[in-house]
Amino acid sequence: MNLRSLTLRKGTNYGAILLMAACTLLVLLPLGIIFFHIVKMGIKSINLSFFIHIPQPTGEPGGGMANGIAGSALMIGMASLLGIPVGIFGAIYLTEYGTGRLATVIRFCADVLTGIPSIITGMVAYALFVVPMHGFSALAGSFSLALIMIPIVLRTTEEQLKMVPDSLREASLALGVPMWRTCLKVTLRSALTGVITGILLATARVAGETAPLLFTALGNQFWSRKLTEPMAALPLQIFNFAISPYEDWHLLAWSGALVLVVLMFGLSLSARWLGRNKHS
Amino acid sequence: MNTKLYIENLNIHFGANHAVKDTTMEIAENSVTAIIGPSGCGKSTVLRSINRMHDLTPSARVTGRILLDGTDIYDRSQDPVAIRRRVGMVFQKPNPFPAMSIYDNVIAGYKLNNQVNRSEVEEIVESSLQRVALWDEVKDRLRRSAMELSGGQQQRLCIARTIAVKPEVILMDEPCSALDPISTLKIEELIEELKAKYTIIIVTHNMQQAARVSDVTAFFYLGQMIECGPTRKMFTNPEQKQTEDYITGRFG
Repeated sequence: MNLRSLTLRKGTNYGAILLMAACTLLVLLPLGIIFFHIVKMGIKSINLSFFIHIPQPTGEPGGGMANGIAGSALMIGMASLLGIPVGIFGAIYLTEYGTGRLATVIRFCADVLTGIPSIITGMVAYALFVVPMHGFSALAGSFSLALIMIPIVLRTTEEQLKMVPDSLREASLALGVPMWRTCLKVTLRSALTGVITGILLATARVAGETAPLLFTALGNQFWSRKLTEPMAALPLQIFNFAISPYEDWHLLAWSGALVLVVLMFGLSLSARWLGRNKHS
Repeated sequence: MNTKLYIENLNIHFGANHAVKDTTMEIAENSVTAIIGPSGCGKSTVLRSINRMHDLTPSARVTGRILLDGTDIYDRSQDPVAIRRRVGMVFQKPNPFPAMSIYDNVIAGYKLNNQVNRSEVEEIVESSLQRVALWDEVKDRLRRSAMELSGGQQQRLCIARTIAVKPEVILMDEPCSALDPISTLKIEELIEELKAKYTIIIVTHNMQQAARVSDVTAFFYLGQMIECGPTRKMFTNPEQKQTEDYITGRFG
């Protein structure tokens, strides 16, 4: 081998590595900027009253987003009650029982549903809930969030169940365990960490959804007393405060954004942590 | 000896593939029957039909009858779950439940069915592990994960799990193919002992193994049962030319 071509090759190698490192930095840069900016702006109004008080009229100090945080938690909780079981049982059907056309159709529909812009999901919930019930409500908001959760939970659970080796299913069945018990106690149990990871990611996803709530939960400056009333949500409050003309409300919006980002960061981190534990 | 299983005109199709053709054979109680033959000859397919494992494969179609103590297990009135409690199975690759301890693996059949009876369980775990000669090796770490065991120990654990639910017939699908010679020897000795209580059918690629452990040997080729007879006769003086060719290593 001649020396010149070796030097050339080494040079090319070096250049390529440098290029890839630069691209990686470019990917990380926006995330860093967003995070830095949100922390810088948001930290100013983060104090106890932010978490325990409802918004005050502009100019009055001590306002918070307690109702938005509680509303988001409540609506995400209710959406999970509907979305998680439907997603998981749907996935069990697809992997364990579903064969032929119906399974293909369901899978295709789930994929389409994942791709539908969330504002359209909100309009569907508006037509199904808000119009017949003559008013915006937390129920309608939860329903629209559940619609977004279902396909995500369904598809991630399905992927996880598919990874469970058939030999485990057979081992269970050969012991005289009925199919349904095998599904729940062996197959789903084996895939549990992956399934929970999927649920956490789906939760993180809907926690930040704003568009479907505009049409359904609407938002509320005060505490809601019933599920059939409009309800505040963190992303909605951020939206409303950010487009207001008042400087102190802008700061609150930044703090809301910080809380939301930290929440999603936490959910993603726990999802990763769970996922890593599985392999060790 | 009593007939435990009677397989009559068994045909198994997977879609257009005719995997097992018109097989009839009789299996005596408390005997060991070996099924031998080259890869793809249908021997595992026959084995899996005896506890209705093909029910899970949508394209599989089983016709003919399999009589267990005189009752057709493919009759409409029969519950496959109940059949599988009477006909246990040990698989080619050891498949203990990874999320369970050694202890829980032994009683998995009870645990998964929510039938754990506290007063009996201890006894079942110990006697099952004793019978597969695993007790002394694991008695100090029953709560540890089953995945910590070696391949041979895992396979004996799987056999313990199978006999813990007190089946009548045990199907073994190449149980030693993933094991080293010493573990293989232990399992073969175990089969010899289990014969007293159970009827055993073993599929094997290893002809010496068939000769060592079985009373009766059946030779399958291209989905057809070519010959079935006492093991000694099959290996010394087979009736069919194909059997002789296979056993002497001329093909397969």
